[in-house]
Amino acid sequence: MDADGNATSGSAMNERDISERLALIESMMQAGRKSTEYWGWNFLLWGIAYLVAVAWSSFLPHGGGPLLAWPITMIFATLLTIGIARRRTRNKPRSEKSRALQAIWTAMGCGIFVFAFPVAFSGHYQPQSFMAAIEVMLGIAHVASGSFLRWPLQIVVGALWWVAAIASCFVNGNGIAYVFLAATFVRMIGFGIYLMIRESRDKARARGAEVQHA
Amino acid sequence: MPELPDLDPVVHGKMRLAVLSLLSGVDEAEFTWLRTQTGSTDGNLGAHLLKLEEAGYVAVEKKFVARKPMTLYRMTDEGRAALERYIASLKALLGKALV
Repeated sequence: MDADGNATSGSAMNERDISERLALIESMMQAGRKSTEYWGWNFLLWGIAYLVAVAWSSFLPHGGGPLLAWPITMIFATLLTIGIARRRTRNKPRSEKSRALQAIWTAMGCGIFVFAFPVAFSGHYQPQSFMAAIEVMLGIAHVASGSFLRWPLQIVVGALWWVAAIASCFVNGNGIAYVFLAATFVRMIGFGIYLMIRESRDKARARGAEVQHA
Repeated sequence: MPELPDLDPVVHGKMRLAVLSLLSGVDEAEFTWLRTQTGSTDGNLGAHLLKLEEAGYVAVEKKFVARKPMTLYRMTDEGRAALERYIASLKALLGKALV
């Protein structure tokens, strides 16, 4: 017996004890791995930001157009993301996986900023190319993230962004906005809501499987 | 009859086993997160973490972030090896693979 009263000799443990311990190990390892996956709110936030930017650019001709719409909404969304992320990850553990995913999405976000601002202010803004480039970058991040997580659903979401990028090259006028709006609604907002529902279900399940005090 | 393996008494405690399993999946974790995941109290968890630290299975780092104290725990190589040995011993006892 150890100091906690647990039998330490293998022969003194029965099959139920052993199975319980293996299940405990598995559930705790899962808890450690899963703790960094809940970013549904971020997809929802950026989906709404994109919708606002596109709607502002396309449907409010006297509102400053894309030169105002995109910088303001993207900066606002970035500040919100940083603030919410800091609050939500304050007590969360870090892992190689979380760092890798953060790197993918941070690089994508920086890439969009590096691309979008100069294009918006250079006078070389061309709607089809601009939207297609944004959609390609979103697709890259989703596919990279989904490949890393071995999550087919996210890879499909990324591929659908690439489909939207191709479609953007062939539409004119407000059609570009409609393609992007449809893609954003499904692949950002829909995906974000799905992740948030999954998160609340996982948390409810985890609450029901708390470890007994030793 | 084959000899049944003795189990590492440091790892064998349920709370310590839970903590090591949690730490095995992350680089490092805060004390508050470990407490939430295990449903333990500060004192109980602290005592078990001290035992793991004394055995060399976890390393602790105390620092201040935005003037707030933060205690981070990290599994050591010895801790990882001890957990792997423990799992292997359980599997040998049970005779089936961990899914």
